[in-house]
Amino acid sequence: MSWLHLLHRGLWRRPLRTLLTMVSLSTAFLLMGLLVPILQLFESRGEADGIDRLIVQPRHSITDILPISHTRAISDLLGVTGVSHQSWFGDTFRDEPSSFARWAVPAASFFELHPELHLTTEALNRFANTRTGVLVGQKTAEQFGLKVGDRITLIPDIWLNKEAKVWEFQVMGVFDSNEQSADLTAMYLNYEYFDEYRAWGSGLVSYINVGVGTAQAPFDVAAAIDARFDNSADETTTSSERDFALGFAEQLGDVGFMITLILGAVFFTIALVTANTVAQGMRERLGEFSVLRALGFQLRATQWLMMGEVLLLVALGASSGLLISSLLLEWGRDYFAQLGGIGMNSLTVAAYHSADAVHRPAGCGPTRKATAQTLHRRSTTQVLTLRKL
Amino acid sequence: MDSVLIEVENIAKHYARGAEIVRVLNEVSVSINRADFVAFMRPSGSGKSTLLNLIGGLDRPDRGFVVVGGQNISTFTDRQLTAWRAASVGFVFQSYNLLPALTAEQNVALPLLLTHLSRAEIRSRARIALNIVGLEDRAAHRPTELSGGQEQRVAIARALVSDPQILICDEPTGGLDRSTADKFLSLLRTLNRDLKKTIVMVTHDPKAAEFAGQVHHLDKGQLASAGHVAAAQS
Repeated sequence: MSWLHLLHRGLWRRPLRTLLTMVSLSTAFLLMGLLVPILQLFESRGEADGIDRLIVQPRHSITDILPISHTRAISDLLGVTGVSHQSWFGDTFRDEPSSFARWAVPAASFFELHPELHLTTEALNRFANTRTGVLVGQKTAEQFGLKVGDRITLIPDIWLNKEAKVWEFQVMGVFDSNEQSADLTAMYLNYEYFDEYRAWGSGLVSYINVGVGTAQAPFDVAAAIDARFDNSADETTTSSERDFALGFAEQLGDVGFMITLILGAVFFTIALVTANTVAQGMRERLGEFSVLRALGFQLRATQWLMMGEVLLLVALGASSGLLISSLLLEWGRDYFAQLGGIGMNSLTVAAYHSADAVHRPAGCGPTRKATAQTLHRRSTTQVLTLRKL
Repeated sequence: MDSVLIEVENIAKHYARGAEIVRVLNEVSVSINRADFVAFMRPSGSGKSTLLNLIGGLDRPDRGFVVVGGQNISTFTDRQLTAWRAASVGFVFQSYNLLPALTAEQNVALPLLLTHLSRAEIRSRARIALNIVGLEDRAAHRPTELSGGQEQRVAIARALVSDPQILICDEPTGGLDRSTADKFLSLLRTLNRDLKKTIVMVTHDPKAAEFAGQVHHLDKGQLASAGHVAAAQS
């Protein structure tokens, strides 16, 4: 018999009630364990720590496109250590338009700027030297059973091929990465080939990737890039890859505030429910506490017994909730890592597929071809936001 | 050595019931010697339990004082009174008041949590106390798994375990049948005779009072008569 034993026996006096209260607490802490890391992620926006790459995008709409000439202008700026670009390709693969992201990139500069994507030199050379070559991420290769030499056919929905009805590619290699933030579902195709054969939009890119060194503060470089194109026909907004990704999520609204609000409401409710349950339990046991007092337990000792039971209950509920949340976070770490890391992630893909959806009503064939460029230039931010919602 | 252990001097106690003042005890004085077995009798409302609470340090008198072992416990602070109770008094209640979540042994061990004894020693003493009341084989049983008589014996073991000078018993046989009550009262008498425990018992049962060496009658808050059992019965 010990004090801890007495606490434990008191806590489990009514097992079902204790269990249900604990489940409530556990659920609240599970939610907190899942949402707080996301909240912290949003609160970390604007932090310069660990930033070595920036993303330049059109200032007014994610569906606008930048001229490739911007890359040359950016490479001349102080603090820029490398420049590459990527263009959203989209299209439908095996009737699954949103299965993975497809980007047109310049082989050499893009992989030089993304050293976290691992592939053999032979694979990179094959890709660079084969106009119809593509590189696929490990996950996509596994998901679709793709291997080197396989042929892939993509059915265009934005980028029509001016010489064929479909785009045909051949897998030149599979890339992998040790970094959780790397998107191993992506597929990269040669920008040169894409640019030459697309029906419209030649010389345009979706984003410009900028490598930054330690000589200049990343956000100073970002400001310099945006200042360089101020008042031009193609103004830019530059951010870190992490902020870029979070920016998509924040199109829903002030996510941080929403999370805080949800957590506040959940904890307030759970606190009331728990307090009521505990108070009810204590009321039922007033007689028992009176007996303890008669036996010589000091008032403070009985108060600590009551408090101890509550603390034990909260500790058990909180620890189980946080344990489950950490397991869930571990299980879904790829998703969260992408959210906090590389810019080209599932959120971006979702946004682009929404853009595709906006374009689809333009139809197929000549009519679509004629209207596609106009549509693509149109500011569709509002529609995109609604689609994503 | 002074043979008087408990000295109650002119105590008065009243309670407010709405606007009405109920005088429960009025100028009661009584002395109880060491190793006495004293019973207080009379029907409900005569102030027996209040007197017991005052002697046991669960309450304080409005007037007068209670001296136990030379200490005026009426002047103790709540903290002192609680510590005194833990060291000097064992309580046996009518409704047993065992904690349902604990086993018999754990219930008996409760007062020892307030000591600095090791867990092994606490367990050992609890076993001894259960052995004294003949319930060693029921140590692992919960109160719900015991009969009324067994529960009351566990309550006695709990009252004994810290080896107090005084046992306070408030209607201890109230919930027991005659046969079980007699066995329980025999146990009390044995404790009084063999372990020299001073026992103060409140009861409305004349049969129970027969087991006491001395019987006091309370009536309307005052001590009506006192005497040995034979005199009381006559």
